[in-house]
Amino acid sequence: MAEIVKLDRISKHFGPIIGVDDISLSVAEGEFVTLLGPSGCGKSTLLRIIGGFDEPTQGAVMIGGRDVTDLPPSRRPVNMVFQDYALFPHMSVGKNVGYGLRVGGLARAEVAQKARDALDLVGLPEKFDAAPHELSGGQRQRVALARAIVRRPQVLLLDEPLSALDANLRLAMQVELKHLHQKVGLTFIMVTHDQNEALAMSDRIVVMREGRIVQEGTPEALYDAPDSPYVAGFIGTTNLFDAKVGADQTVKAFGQSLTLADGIAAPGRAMTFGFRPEKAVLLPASANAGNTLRGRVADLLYQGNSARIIVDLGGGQVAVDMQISGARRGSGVPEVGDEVQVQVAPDRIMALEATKQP
Amino acid sequence: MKAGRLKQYLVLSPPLAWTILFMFVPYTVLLIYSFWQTQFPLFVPDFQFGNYRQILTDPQYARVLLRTIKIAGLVSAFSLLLAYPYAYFLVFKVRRSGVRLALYMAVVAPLWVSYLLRAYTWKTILGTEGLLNSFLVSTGILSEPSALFLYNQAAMIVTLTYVFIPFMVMPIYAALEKIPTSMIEASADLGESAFATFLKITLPLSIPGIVAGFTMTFCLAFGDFIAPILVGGPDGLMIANVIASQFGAALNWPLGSALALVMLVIVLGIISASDRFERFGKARLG
Repeated sequence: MAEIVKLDRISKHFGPIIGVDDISLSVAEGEFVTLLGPSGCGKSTLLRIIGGFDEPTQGAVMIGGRDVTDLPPSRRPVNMVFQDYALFPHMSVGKNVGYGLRVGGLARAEVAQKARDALDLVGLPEKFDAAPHELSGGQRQRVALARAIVRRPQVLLLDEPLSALDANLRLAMQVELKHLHQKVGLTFIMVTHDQNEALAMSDRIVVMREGRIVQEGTPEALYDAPDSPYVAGFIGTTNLFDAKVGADQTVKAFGQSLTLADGIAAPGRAMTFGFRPEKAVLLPASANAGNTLRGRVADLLYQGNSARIIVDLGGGQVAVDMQISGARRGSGVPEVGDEVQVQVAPDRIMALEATKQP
Repeated sequence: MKAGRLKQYLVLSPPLAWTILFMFVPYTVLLIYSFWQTQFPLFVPDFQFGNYRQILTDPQYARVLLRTIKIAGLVSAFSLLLAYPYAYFLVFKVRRSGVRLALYMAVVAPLWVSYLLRAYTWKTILGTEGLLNSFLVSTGILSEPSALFLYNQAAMIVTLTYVFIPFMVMPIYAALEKIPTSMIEASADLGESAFATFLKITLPLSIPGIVAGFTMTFCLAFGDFIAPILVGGPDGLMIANVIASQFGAALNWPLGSALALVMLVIVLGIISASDRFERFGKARLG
């Protein structure tokens, strides 16, 4: 696929503070890329640099093969969906959506028609004459989307587009955004701090921290093979432990012993390891099984179809998820205080990064 | 329940007493006086509309009223022309909040100085011995001090604009500050130039501030009677001066009361129109 956006060694300094630190990134046409990270990691600044709202201190922004670094937002082939939607309160929904079309010198009727088509696309054809303040949060979100895609930008930028919605609506809009992406075939670059959002929607996730990219890849790759404890902890939950690899591929974990899969770490190396709560299996204390950690249930978070069980291993606590298919009683869910074993298959243990030698 | 009621009355009674004593009673007295007759030097209780008829038929009152409206209108217009760019500059161009606050206070702080003093300052600037004249003479533009700058309507407009401009800056500043940056960015994002964005987004969204500022400066200038005395000329009398003289030298309280009520009605009309506009805007903007 053709490259549509290319960031070449972008840095952005705010006085002594470094917002974005030497980032290079390439986005392919039609791709859905998510910039993921905690607040203050530079993801929004990076998006604003692509949109033209912030000027990079260093580096170049190329869109569609053209250097747009010095162009104002009005002359870039991108459109942005703002976090607060930024709908113009003194204009009707239709006027809002058509706002960007009148610039192009289109006839009034044509503008209205295109605005209607865009509203159709986001499922709000009947709101053409409504005022923005008459709409619900989700509807405003759709209008903001319609307004941004109506100009057929080469790239659509989304700044935390779902953060202002409540939980249920957010899930529904995730699905809709994804469908919209497939339907219009535009390139989407989204910023979010919500890992679930990133996992659910993106083709590729770029995890950022302190102005730098720490890892990028498909949602599956980032989830299954994070290359740092930071990514492992930010995307999903991970039980982490530091250990030195023994000669027989065993490691000390929480004061007990686990066997690693062959070849994931060389003997003698000190590394951070981790395993996901849902990839470990909870067994009764009496079970006869290999590669287990013994402990006692310290806490139990019931979540309906599953439960997260916090097991105290003596040398630390780990979280284990357990699916509950039937009723809670009699489905094997332990009680707080029960003796249990946590079984972690060797291929479920991820080697994250070398720890610094003391 | 009963104790709660009592408490409510206790809390409300001071402002209520204040309003009755200093607003309702005086206006009622004015209203009653406005129907009386003058038989110099006495005022005779009566119920007749002669005073109002006189205001409507005698062209000198209409002339003063129109002049007052003209001066108040010009003062508001000049204030707007000066205050809007200033407020815009403060909100959108000054990046450092400390500098912004300092520049804002530079406009607002003179309100703490006596009104009389501020108006009087212009007498010393515009007078024959004043700053303006000494500057013009010392630079050789004028060979001798000119008396043209003081004691006319222009001097009144300059003085009143200076005195009341904070009331224009404050609401416009507040209105501009309320506009989210993202809205202006969205307009740029959708392809509009900075100037088009100003006309289509910033200006319409700041209209409530303009209306509020215009209402305040207009009403304040409309009721002013100091500037005409200090810097106005013989053609500079405003309605408040006429009213004052009816209660003073002319000794015609009934006519003065009628004039005061006519003025009150005009001001109330402007305030309620502005209020209605604001409510309409609010309903639309949500």
